[in-house]
Amino acid sequence: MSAGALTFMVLAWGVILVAVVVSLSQLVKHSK
Amino acid sequence: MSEKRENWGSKLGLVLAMAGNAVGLGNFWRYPYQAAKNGGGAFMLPYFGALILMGIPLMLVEWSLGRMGGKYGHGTLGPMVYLQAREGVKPKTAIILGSLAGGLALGVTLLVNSYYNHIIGWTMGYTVLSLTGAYMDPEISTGGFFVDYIQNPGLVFGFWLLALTVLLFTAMGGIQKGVERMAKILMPTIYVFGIILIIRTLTLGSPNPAHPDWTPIAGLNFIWSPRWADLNWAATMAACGQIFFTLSIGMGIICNYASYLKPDDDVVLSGFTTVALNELAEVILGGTIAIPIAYAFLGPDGVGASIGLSFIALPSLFREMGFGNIVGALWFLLLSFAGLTSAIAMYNYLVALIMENSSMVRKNASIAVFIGYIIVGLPVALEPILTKTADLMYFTEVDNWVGNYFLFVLGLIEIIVTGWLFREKGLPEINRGGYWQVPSWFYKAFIQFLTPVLMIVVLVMYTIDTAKAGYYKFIPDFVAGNDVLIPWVQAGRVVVFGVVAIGCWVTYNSIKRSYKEELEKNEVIIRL
Repeated sequence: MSAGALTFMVLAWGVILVAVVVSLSQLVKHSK
Repeated sequence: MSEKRENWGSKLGLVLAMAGNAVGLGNFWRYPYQAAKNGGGAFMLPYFGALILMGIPLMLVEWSLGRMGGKYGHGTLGPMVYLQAREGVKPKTAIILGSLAGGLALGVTLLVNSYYNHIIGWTMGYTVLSLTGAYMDPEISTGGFFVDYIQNPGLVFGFWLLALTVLLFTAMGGIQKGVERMAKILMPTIYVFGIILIIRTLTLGSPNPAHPDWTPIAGLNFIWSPRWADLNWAATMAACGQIFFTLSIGMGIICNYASYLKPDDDVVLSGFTTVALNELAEVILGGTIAIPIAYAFLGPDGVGASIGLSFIALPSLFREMGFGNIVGALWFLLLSFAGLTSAIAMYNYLVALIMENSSMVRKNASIAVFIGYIIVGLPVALEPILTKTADLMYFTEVDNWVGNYFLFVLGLIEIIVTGWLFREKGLPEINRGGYWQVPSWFYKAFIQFLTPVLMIVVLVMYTIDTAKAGYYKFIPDFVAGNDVLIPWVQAGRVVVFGVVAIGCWVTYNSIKRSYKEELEKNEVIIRL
């Protein structure tokens, strides 16, 4: 993969995965 | 109106149902096609821009509108909009906004399903046909196979009715035992199927001996390489449209699900989690299956189709790969599950509408929606069978209005009502009971300024673009010269505006019945 494509993919995937992990873990924490 | 409104059984069930509401067919076939066509990696700039500037603010507004409406016994958009709008304008003006919102929401929830349920039916049919190997013979043209399918009354009606029956029994089960239970089964399955398909996709190697450089990784490179020359106004509009479609905003169905929250349940963190789970399904799963497979077999010229990609290109590739019938079945089952989780939300909106405006119990209201869906879905089923064409012009015209234009209009009404009419009361309403709190600056900058202004720009520009493309002519350019299909387009228009008019009238009477005294005096009596 080109550096440009890899950069965009890693950035987008990273932001989304962090958002999923943070929001779900917060939700689980508050649901207890 | 029902005496006691139902509630969600658990936070997990609520979030999975809301994520299912958002995760639909668009995540897996529409997004990859849009990204590949509109600049690849560069598409992510307007896409994330639209997500932050419009998607997330509108998601919060819809959750909040719905929860507040539910507190006053409403599960549909008209009365919800009325309640907030009358804080900024007189009740007699507010009822006009509420009626318009209710009419458009009926148009979207009823008519999107005139074709959406058919597509779910096609995916169910193709699941079975994949398992039986019906299109696995290389001599069979998958394009011709698809045309034969949509012109085959037995297959079309059989699987369409199967999809509708699944929706019927889910809606009849109610919120906890129907919608929530279904979401808890289907949503995890969608993510598991998605991961299995990604693993199979990335292990395809180099399947085309004539082009050893065509690999799934090259496909990923194609979809993610920033092609700045393709990043134009059309790409920006495509990104905005994709955000509305994928998040299911501007339809009223997020509001409907939120109406089953308790008055102090969190909406901020739950709404944000819904967005995050939808993006996981769309960008990571949706972006890593269809396009890389198509690229590996067909190269860059093979990725430029939407419906054709799923039902024509991919089947022709499944038969060339190991375990192709299993992979094909998984792909179509994934699509049908994703479609069902969104269709359930639209179905439930109509059930709530009927229950609010009649003495019908949920079971009978669910049966009434089933019959209504059959009536509005018949033209979509019959057009290719009767005209012996595969152009689906009735579908195209209805989708132009209810699958695109009305979403923008409805979203604009919602954001203006909360940001400009409900004004400063909107922030504490969103934050009440919140595990996370929306800061005051975000509310002022986004919900009261940037989002409504941008949405006005998007709506105006979308109208200009579609007018230039000849969509609003008596005979639209896309059907000009085809005398057989012109009546189908005109019929689509009559149905769309007829349904919206009926929706406005029903909503007007519903609001008038609930808030008769304050509408007669034209001043707010019931304080929020």
